[in-house]
Amino acid sequence: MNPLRILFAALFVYLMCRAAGCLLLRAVALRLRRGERVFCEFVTGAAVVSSLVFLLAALHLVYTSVLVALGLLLFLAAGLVRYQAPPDEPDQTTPLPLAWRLLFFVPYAIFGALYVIAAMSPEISPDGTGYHVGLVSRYYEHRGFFMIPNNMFAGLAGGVEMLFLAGFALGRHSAAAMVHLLFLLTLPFGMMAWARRAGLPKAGVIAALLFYMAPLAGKDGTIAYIDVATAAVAFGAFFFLEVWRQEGPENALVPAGVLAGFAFACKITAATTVVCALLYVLVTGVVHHASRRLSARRLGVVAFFATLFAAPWMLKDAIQFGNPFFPLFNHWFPNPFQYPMVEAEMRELMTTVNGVPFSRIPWEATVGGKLFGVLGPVFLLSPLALLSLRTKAGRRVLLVFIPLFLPFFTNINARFLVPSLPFLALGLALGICSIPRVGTALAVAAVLLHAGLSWPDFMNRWSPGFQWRIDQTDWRVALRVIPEKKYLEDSWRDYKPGLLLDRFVPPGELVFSPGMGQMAYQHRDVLGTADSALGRRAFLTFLMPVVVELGSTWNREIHFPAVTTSRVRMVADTKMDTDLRISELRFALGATEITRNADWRVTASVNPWEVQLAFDNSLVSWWTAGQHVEKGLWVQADFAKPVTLDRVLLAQSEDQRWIALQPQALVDGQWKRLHARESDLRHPPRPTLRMEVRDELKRLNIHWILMPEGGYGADDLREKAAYWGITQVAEANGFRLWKLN
Amino acid sequence: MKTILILSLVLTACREVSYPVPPQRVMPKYHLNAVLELDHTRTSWPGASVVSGVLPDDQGVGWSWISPHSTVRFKLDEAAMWVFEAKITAVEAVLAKTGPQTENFLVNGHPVKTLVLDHAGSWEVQVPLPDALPADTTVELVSEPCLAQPEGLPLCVLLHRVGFTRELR
Repeated sequence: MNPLRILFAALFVYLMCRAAGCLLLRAVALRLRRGERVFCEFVTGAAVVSSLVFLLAALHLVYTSVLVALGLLLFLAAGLVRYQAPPDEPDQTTPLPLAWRLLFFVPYAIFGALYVIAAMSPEISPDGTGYHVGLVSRYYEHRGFFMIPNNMFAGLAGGVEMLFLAGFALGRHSAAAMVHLLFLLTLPFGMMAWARRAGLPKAGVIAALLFYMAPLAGKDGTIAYIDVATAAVAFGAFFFLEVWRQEGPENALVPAGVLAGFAFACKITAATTVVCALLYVLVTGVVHHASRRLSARRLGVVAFFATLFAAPWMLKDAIQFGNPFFPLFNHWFPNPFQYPMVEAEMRELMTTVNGVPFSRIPWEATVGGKLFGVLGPVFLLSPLALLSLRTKAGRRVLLVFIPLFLPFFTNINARFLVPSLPFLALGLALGICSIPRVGTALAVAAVLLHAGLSWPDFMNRWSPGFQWRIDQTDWRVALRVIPEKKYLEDSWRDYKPGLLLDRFVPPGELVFSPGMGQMAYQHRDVLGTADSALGRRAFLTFLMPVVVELGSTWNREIHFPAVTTSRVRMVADTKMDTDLRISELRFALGATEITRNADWRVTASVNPWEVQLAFDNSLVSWWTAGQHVEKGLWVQADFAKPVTLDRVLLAQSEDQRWIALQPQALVDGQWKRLHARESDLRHPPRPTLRMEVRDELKRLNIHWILMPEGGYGADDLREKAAYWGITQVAEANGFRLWKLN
Repeated sequence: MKTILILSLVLTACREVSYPVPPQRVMPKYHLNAVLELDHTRTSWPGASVVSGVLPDDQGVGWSWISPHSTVRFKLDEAAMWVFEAKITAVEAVLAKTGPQTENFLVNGHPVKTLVLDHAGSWEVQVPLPDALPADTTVELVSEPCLAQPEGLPLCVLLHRVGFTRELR
């Protein structure tokens, strides 16, 4: 990709956002102070442009020409509005001394150059290529949204990704990262604008630089992630609320609501921004003795505009996945696309990153790096932010910090700190600056130290070992003097395997890929192990020949006094941290099986969509509860007419042996517990199991496996290929591509 | 249409949904192939190796010339009853000069099949073996007459695959 095209794409998106923001702010007749438009127009415009691109995607109109036309239209309209609009209000505060301006702009420019080089470089970030840009590239190919049932990330709200989509249309992958960089470059101006309004411009400079130069913000903001953008949007909401509180223009609540809703659209964990905005309005109303009616109207305005910008994503998820918050809350909104158990496992995983206990989080998030990314040692001074509680501004900042910080505990990856980081930085800067006599000097020293410690080449000295930080600083890569393809091939393990898929796998055929999830540079559908219900099913099925406990069959024969009934349930009588799986469920009277027939109806208390798999005469297909087993969970057969039976025959994987199952029969309209005794028999894995599993995977439309060397089961595939009935088609970077014969 | 279906799914999510018993699946017969494949798009048995007489397939065409006496060794996982199988091609240009050829297949030194190649084309062999094979098994292919070359080995027939197969139970 031509670097000029990447720059043009980012500039185009930036100008689109500025134009849309200008129109929105003029539409609500909100007058800002000079210097505030850089930030305010951009973030509010980002919300508007994102929503417009969402609309285009919903209408399948994502064409480069349409996006360019939209941009030109916005430029034209904004130009006309600007021409007719009154000038901005003059900034009444004392301008910053030259030294302070230099203190800000010199590191801003130096780090800015570094950030541009990093963002311009080919995108290889895991989540970026996995879904932030991966999905965007698919949406662009399809000209808009389409159902992607096997990738839960397609259900995450994609407010920032819609801006990436606009950038991608013009400048492809790196343009997405450049669009994200726009937020990193813009947010410091918002922070300084707020501080000027609070009468603390120097603290604003300190805070802006603390945020801007933090290694974590620098890394995140220069790749196609969304955390810095979310931080900017959440801060924007706060900024407009402050404008409203300070100066009283009711119309400031409109952009505040827009940005609160857009924060949810950017990142679901930033939904607390909406709650925070509503509380802010409510509390301010109480403090200023506003009438209930006025407070209700204000809350209504914020809630309405927040909903306007957040609800489309919930609607999309409700339509596509049957869960408005997909891929979260699947327990409350059960659906066939993701098992609640996978969600629970991921929650567990995300709250125990690298085994870091809560007590170590401050260290690891600032210096250690075990949470993937560091804020820099200066943030160890964060407790000094408490000093800012002595001022009203400090109290407000820290109060807003709390709701934006709390979602971090749902995922303790350090980047989940980013949305709350501007508030922490402001609190810290206010706190340090408030120290009598030496406060300002200390703050300047802290910033200079932060600048030195945050420079990538210097980081190795204080934080050795792997760090998630900017590591691509070669301008030749950014400017494509070193060709993009060569850089990708040399620097990134997942690139070549992706090319294999395009070369060998026909379109429409799924690839089970436990170790490679990049979607950005290839065009086939890969199925991860936890990205969907199908992925989990494929993974467990694949493991059956590899893990003896999964491949061995546990045959249960549950006897009870003969009963005549039309319905029987098998009810779980155990609570365990595993799912309940049943391969086959049969009924018998004596030695004679009650033959299954077309009149039977089968169902389950959870995950009924897959219950037929317990009645299909195949041991490698199974119904799963899809959640941790708990007492009372059941599977049911309705025989349509009364039958007499005295035993239930269950076939399960051996790992299910510890789950007690109790038969119940519907007798006289009541569910009656049957007094049963059980005899069990274990059968070792069948010699045909690998081929059975291969056929089961093919039934799931999986015809290929892309397996990394050292991946779970990789050795078995290689050594027992003949038993699997598979053929190795290609190999690249330690990945083998197997075709299921 | 898909949207309507999904909406219906959402609307019915709170109600008990039941399904009929699905069609009953029948497990097919599965075969294990312990075969040396000259076709690189197919996977050879990892324990199959050429001892002598099979020329390398440098072109990747999926077959190789074999010399008058070729030997392939198989390391089998377990002693079991196998079916011997092979696929060869008699070549028109060779037959035109040599006349009909004879191809003898021997397993562990015991003849299992003899083919008289009286016309050009593919020939396939499948012979159930009477005894269980030992883990270390040798297959010999003896061809005559062959086309002598001014340099190098004489050319006999083209070999596509050779080895054993058995039903997995």
